Amino acid sequence: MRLGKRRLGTLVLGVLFLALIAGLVACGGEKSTESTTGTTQSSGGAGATGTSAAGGSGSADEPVLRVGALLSLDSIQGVEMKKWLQLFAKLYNDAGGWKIGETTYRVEPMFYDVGMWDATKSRSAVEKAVLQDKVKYLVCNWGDIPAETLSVTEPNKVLWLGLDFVDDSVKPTLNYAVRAQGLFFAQGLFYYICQDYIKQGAKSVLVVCPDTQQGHVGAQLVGATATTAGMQVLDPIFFSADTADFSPIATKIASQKPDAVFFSYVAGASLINAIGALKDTGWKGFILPGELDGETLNNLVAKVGKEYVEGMETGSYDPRPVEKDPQTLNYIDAYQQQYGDWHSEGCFWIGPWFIFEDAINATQSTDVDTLVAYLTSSKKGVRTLTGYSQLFARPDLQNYKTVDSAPGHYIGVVRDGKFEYLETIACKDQYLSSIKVYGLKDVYQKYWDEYGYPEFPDQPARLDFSDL
Amino acid sequence: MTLQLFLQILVNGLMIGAIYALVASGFTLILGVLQVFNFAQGQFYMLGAFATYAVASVLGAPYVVAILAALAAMALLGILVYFSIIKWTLRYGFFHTMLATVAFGTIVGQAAVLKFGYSTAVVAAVVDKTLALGGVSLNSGKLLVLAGALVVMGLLYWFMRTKIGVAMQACAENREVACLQGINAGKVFWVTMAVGCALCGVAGALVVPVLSASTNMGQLIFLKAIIVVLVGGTGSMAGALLAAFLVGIVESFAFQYVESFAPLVIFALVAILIYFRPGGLLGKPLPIPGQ
Amino acid sequence: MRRAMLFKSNKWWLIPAFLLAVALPFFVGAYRLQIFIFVITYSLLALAFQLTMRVGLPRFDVAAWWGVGAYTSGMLMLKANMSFWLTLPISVLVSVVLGFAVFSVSVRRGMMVFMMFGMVFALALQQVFGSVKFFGGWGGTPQLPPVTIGSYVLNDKMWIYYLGMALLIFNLGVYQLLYKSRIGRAWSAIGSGLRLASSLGVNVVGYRLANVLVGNAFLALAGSFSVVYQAMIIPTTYGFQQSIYVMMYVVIGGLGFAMAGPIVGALVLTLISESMRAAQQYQPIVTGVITVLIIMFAPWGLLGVLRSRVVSVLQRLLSSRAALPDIPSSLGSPASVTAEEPGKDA
Repeated sequence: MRLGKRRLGTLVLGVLFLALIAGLVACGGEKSTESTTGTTQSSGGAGATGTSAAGGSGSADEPVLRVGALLSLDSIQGVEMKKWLQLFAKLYNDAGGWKIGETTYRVEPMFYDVGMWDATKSRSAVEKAVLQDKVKYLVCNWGDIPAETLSVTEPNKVLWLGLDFVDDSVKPTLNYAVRAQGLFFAQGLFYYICQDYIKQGAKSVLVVCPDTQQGHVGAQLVGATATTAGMQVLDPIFFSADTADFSPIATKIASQKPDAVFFSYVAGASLINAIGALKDTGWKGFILPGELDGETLNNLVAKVGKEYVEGMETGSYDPRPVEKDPQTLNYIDAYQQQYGDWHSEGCFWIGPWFIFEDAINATQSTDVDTLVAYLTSSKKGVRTLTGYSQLFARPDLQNYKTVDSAPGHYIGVVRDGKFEYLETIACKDQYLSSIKVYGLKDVYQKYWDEYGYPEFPDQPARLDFSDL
Repeated sequence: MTLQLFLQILVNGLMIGAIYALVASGFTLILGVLQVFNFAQGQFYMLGAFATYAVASVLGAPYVVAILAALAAMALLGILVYFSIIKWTLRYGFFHTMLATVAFGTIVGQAAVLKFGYSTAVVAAVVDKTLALGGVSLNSGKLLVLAGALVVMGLLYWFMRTKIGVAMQACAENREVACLQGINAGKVFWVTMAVGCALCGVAGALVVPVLSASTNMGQLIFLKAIIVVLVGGTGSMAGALLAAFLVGIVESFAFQYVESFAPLVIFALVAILIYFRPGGLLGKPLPIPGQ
Repeated sequence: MRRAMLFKSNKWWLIPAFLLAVALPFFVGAYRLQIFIFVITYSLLALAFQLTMRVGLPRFDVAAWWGVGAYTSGMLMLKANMSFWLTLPISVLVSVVLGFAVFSVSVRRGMMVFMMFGMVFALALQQVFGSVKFFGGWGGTPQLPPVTIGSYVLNDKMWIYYLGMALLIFNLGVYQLLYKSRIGRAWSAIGSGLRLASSLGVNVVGYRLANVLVGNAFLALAGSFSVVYQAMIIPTTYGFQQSIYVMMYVVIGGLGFAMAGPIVGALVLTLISESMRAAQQYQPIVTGVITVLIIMFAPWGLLGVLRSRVVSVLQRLLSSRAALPDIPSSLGSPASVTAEEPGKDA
């Protein structure tokens, strides 16, 4: 029996230990307190069907506008997008609801965690959203598999406004999908930077990408862009996505002796390790990180020193030092008030929400077909957190509806260890430089002759139609 | 291939090999003595790196202090895990204990993701110089990792010759006979756990000025430790040390030529070794459970 | 062993369980039916894991072989325009032949090498699926063509569910036949005492190899089955993490229950995971904590708890641990737990 008591002691110890871990997690997640709203609502949705699920959290007779989002909450982008969507909903709800036509709706964002590139999780998430919770709009996505998502949304007439790295979502056969965060018309950033680096004397470039889908797509696009801008492109290097030790990669980069190195889709810890390892090999030259946020830059400077990254140009998603637009400033203030700190990782990817908002406000309707009709004949750019985003047609895929977007981007330069805003890439430049890079001028010219030239937001642009 | 390139690749391989050696020897020690397949081994490495970050960068203590702190913290955590989880499940057999460490590793890994987020912890380089030896430039930070790892291995060699170290070897050899000789198995077990986890903590601490700490580093190093143990022979400490450097160097050279297919080269190496030399490189594995 | 007998004498519950499973599509909506289709797939994976546990070999390459099945079927349908039904035997064949090549290296080297070599193989295989252009890269294959029976397109969830059910029952039936046969008894003998079995003249390596390959065949079928309901195949689905979850299914369900254990485990964990759809970042922690608690307080799984009275659970917790095997020098208890009828061996 004495033995029994000792076991009991160990049992208590074990439980305490688990409690410790649970406590650790609980303090770690300020995010968790916000996420409870999302949790209760959607688990309520699982319990009951139809609109009655929403009755729990608001007055029952108020109509609810449900906006679904398939996000990977394992990634910073997913978490940030969730925070933004919750903020937008809160802003509407605090103001008494979203007035659409004659009705005022309470906005209810619904989140579905899809994991990262997991076919099974992605499938069950979209089925839960569409078949179980009857969500009519899926706005924003991260980590899901668009082909899998679309195979459920299309037959059920669900509007999909999202992101896709390959061209699965812009096929002409699809009726309810709009790639509101595309990367096809986003070659402006690299085109600008290539031009700048060529001016400074760079002749050859080496693209370094993780061995993932984004990485392979990125390597192809960046390579094409650099060739068009007039650089010699060396064979790209792919590395395993979970690499921690970048020394072999850096050694290989240095042994090829490029003037410039482009890190496409390398961010955070990987980027810091990669540039750190590159410095160790003694290589010096132009570096282009695909994206760089403030925290990563600070860590990078701590790691390799100011001198090594001086003059580095890169894309940025941080609107704070740039935007003068009062509405955007309001959003930034509201975000900082709500969450107490600032992260810029979600700012760019949240773009589809603004396209959705614009479509609803312009049509004053919640009907999916009306919204689709508006979106697929889009004429103007929409203001997002990071400049303008505009929908264009894809005549190269025989898709003459405006279903693919040219997103807004900033370009910045690192000076004295700080990030300085350089300029905004105009929608027009994103569009035209992409067509130029892909060599699709003839196809698009035919399209423009038939349907007319697109109009762009009022932004200074480097390129014009005559430059193609 | 120039001499410079060759030497650089070799040093890359040696540095990462040294880290593999520490983690894998900790793993193989626990496997041999406790007969526990510790799935959480990589998480101790990750926590060691973050502990170093906390002490060196946040508190601003000297790097040596940070290494010792990481070592002590991981040894303590190892003991805690032993008394709260492993001791309990040991009686149910090998499989249950393994699964307990799987579950523990999952919890710690995800808790770290939630706690530290997706951000990176960077510790400033301890020595920020590049050694130039007749046209060959070598980063001294890497050489420091290598030197640190060799010191730790020396200490481990000494430790295995102390009274408790010998007792550990005896337990690994034959537990029943060791107990009959008056060795306190309970004590040996928790000391083994402490040493095995401390080795991982030190590995994390050593590596953090060269590579920055991130929450996914544990899972990766665990799989590398598995490969090292397979090459070195399950349960063999000396084999693990030798195999770690071999795997590190092969990996490093493989990347230069086949890039992301490097795992396939390693797989082929493992398959050939297992087929022709089942006892591992040194051919003298310790007895391990479940033949 | 008494436990096993008890389980066998209480077969009446099979009838209501079967009826419930058949009637399920009439009660639940499309989304929940999809979840049950996933449960079937995971059950098939867990059953293969349970099968090799019978000969004392835990395997961590379950997801990799699942992927082999999916990729074989998917690739044949995409590149060779083959009918789905024709790809089934081919994917089984590929999985068994490839499995023979891999396992003939590792099975003879004992449990530890088998287990670790499986992990390394799974890693390498995932790299092949991801990096070789032929398989479509990390972004997955192109959209798969629909599965048809004659001119009928199999996209009704109900029929997919029944197809899965049929596959599961076929799987259970084959296992049952094997367990009852001479081979099954040899497996049990190996599982409960390796040395004893080999001294009695049982060809340990041969029987273990056969066991693992049977598991491989059913994993390939599970992979092909997932092609029916998935729009595309993507390599990250078949990662190491999935294999670890499979191991958890088996233990949470109950290691001593060759048939029901894996299914119950897959059902419970999938439902828990699915109920946390909006907060998946906490799901690994919850799963982990449940697993630790189960191992500590109910080492024979949920079914073990169900069977014994609550009182006896408490009793066992506090005093009668001595009845269980003490610190083992070999694999020990899990194998002897899986051995249901060691007496019949002689």
